[in-house]
Amino acid sequence: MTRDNASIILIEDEPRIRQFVKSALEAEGFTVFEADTVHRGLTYSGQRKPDLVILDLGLPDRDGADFIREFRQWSSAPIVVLSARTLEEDKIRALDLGADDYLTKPFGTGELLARVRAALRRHRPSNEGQPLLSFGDVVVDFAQRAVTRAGEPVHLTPIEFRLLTYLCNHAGLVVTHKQVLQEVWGPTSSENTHYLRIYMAHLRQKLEQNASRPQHLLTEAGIGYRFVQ
Amino acid sequence: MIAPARNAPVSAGRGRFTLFFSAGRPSVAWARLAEMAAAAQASGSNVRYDDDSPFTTPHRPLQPVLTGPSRGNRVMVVRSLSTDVAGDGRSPTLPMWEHIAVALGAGTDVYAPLDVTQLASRRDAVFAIIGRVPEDAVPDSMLMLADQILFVDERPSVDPAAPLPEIWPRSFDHGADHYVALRSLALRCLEAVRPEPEPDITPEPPPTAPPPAATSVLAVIGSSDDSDKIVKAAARLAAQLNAHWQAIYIQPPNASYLSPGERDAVQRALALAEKLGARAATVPCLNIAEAVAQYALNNNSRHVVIGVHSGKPWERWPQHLAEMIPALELVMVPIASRRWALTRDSQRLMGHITGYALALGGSAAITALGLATYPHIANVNIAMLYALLVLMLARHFGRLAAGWGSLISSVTFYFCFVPTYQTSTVGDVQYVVTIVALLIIALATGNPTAALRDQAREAVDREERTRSLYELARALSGVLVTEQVAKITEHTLYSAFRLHTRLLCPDEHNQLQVVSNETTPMTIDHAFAQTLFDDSEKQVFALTRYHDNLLYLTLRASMRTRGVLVLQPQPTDEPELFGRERHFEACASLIAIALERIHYAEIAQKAVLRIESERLRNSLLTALSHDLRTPLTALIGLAEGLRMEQGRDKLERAVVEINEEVERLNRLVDNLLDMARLQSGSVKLKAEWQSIEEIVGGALYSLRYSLSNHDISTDVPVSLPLLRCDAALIERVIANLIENATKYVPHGGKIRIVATQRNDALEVGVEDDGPGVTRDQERVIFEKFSRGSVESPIPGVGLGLAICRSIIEAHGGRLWLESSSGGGARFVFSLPLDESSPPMDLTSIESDVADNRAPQTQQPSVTSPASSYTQPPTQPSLQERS
Repeated sequence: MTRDNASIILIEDEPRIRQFVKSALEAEGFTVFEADTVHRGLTYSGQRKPDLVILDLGLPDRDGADFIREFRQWSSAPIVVLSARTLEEDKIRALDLGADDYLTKPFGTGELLARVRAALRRHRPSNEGQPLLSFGDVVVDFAQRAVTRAGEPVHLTPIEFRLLTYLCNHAGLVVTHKQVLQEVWGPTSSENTHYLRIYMAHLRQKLEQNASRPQHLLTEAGIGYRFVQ
Repeated sequence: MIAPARNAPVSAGRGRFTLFFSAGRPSVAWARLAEMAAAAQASGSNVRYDDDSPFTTPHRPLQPVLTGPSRGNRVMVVRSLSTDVAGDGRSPTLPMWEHIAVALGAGTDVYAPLDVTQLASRRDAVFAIIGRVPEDAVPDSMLMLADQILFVDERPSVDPAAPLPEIWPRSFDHGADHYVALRSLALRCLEAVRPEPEPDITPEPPPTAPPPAATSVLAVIGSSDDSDKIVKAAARLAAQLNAHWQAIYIQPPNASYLSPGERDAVQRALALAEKLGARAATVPCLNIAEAVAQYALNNNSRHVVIGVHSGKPWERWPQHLAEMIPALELVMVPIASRRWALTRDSQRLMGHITGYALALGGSAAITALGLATYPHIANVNIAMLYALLVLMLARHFGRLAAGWGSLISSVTFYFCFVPTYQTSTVGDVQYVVTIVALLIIALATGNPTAALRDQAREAVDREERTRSLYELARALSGVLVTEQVAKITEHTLYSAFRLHTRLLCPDEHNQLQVVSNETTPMTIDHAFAQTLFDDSEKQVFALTRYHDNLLYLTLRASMRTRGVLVLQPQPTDEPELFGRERHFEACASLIAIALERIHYAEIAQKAVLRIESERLRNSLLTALSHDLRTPLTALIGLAEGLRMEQGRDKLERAVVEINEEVERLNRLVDNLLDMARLQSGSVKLKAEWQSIEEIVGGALYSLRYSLSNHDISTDVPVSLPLLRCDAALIERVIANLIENATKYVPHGGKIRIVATQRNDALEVGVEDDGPGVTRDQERVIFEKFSRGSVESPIPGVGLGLAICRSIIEAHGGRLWLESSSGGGARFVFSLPLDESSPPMDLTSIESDVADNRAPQTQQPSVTSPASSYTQPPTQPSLQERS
């Protein structure tokens, strides 16, 4: 994956944070444009056509959610949201509006870079057409719809397989309960989260070393799930 | 009988002034005076009568008296203090009382009669009682001047022909008519001049009388338009005596027959009484005299002000009252006679008319029956039928209808059945007996049965009232919110009396606001209620007022007025409301007490909260100053170290340490924020079905870096049911408990997380093999800002466990501490499991999904397995997994 020329718009009103995020991203070879308001962010986005947006939800002029709503009308570039820890509802709203991932302040640069990479990868899927995905001792063959663990075939039900596929397609990114339910079960089923719990538990039983200490199928409490390779 | 009402020591050289004081009975007083004068004369005193001769002029006439043979033996007998003594050229004509002081100064003893009707200050009262006053008055100062007052308190039965000075008009010598009232007036006059508190005026006080602590005045008002006069008289009297006073309306059992005008008059008079400072009440009774006597005794009233109808001379209850309690002083106020029955409620009139009509119809029917069967039924039996009719009439319509019935019956019986058929001479005397018997039945049974009926109704009524009071008291005893008080009041009073109620309570600006949220429309005059409320604040007792067909009651509690209760009767029941004010007042005071209790409970709670938050603030400051400074100091030191360090290893180590310190600070801030949110109640539980395994996994993942030094193991069976909880918060609890364990367990120690299902609760335990917790620590460990030891290198302000407990309790669960089998600590929390909680048995859900969806799985995102959700999650299945 080439990311040297990937451009990122960073919308954040706190100069200190802007500074350290920018230097971390530039050290990785990204081109970074800064904005400190929603208004400026939208203007720059229109001009620069960024590959990714990093957006703080608490901005002085308008709600960060407004940015997502407007930006999504004409661009599908990934958005990574920054927010304070206590506002779970805001995060879910931002994700459901079309943000791709979130980071809770305070965060480290390592975490930030991992999310940015995951978001870019998801946006330019390089593993499409690659029918095999492996994590831990598990190998998933999407073409054959077969899963093996340490070489042994693992039987997944159709829904379990759909769930796994959806999570793998968003590797490294958070997916909300609502998104999973809508994608895997259909648009009418966004309220029945307990089915999701049961399927996730079962998926972990089948694929994780220790289901109560998962390493790949992670829980984002109160928000959703995250698959990491 | 002569009672010495005053007996002052006489100063030397001065004559002794003896007043013979009477109450409308000058003849009696004069008789006693004459007796004493005669006795003095017999003992050798020089007794002169003022009209003897020398007293025609003021200067000369005194001469012979002054030059009498021996000092102290000269007695001047004055026939009337008000008689004018004509003056000569030099001195004006003056009344006799002007000369008394001169005579006394000259050493002459003076005997004079004085009647209460003559006293200047009592002329109004006398006029009110007897309708006229003597032309000349004597100033009250005469009573003060007298050295000795002999109260000639004799019943009017003494010889009325006793000699009386001709200057006394006979008409002022009153008989029995007004004696009681004039006597109490006289006694009050004496009381006013009496220096000693309690001379023995009354022969013997009734044994049932309460100790005369603070006496009070009782005004008994009726339904007359003139009741105001009684109230005003009582108010004046109470002011004179400096006593409390009450105004009562004695409500006869048939009070519901009062006309609206009469009810208004009573209410007006009671309202006026309250305005003038009285305690007003309505007292239901069967016997007026008994009720007044009882009330007077209970309230220690020695003065009773009553109205006397000049048009109703047969009203004897004041006499009965006076006989019942002789010590009572009756003040009679003449009032206009009541309007007559025709102006009263049409209901009563209708009752009479129905009675008369039935009497007519009934006797006609019996007569017809008797005539139809003439020879077969004996006359005696016909008479019995008449008697039966009369009895029924008496029972249902009272004496008048029964009398009317007996009259008709007698006449028809006589003309139709007496053997001297169709003649008008009373031939057979024995039938007179029948007629008389019929009349006697009518008269004898009429009233008692009617009274019994009234009494029975009254008893049922009273029982209902008492029950509603009990119910109200019981319901209000456990109330904690003002809105509940309003609801209970509405419910109780509506079920008992079909009354709608509104509760008005003052806000912080003392403005009344409606508390109840009932939907029944009621137009309350807020301004009136507010005025009443403000008035009541100044008074010591509750106020009750009618206004626009609503009854307003102030809720007076011990400290202040707590609000206003408004009662609205059903339009048809309005007369029923009247006369029950006392009952509603009792209800109102119950409500007031409940409101006051709520008020003080709130105050107490606020005080406790304030003290608690103060304490919390202090410990927070102490803890923060320690815990915030520790990592900050470390950060500063490390950063400065970085600037100087050169070696790659040391640099890296410093960076790692900085990171750890920052993490610690971050957790501290998180905990503080969480605590603040939980405390402020702004946290809303986002309860969803959650798997505990997933939550434990999330907690462990979030701590993955700090757990590297410990041996973590989990025992979370996959078969545990889902539970409804806020996953983020419960994850925080588990993370806090694990983190807490890592603080006290040495590196390499074991931490174990165990989840089990116990009955209908899920228990999650976090146990370690650390040093454990001592008993003392156990007690305070869940308190905010308490830690294992006060100053320790282990970070944290002791917020973690307090937060955990808050969260668990918000979920309806419990958090506690036990000793683990290995000697370490074991924190356990339990969360209630819902009965409908879906099992973790996956096969039951997917079985039919698998069957139905298998062919479609090529396009997973399009499929809509909505049908699978209608499947009961508990349905077992044997497919899929095999």
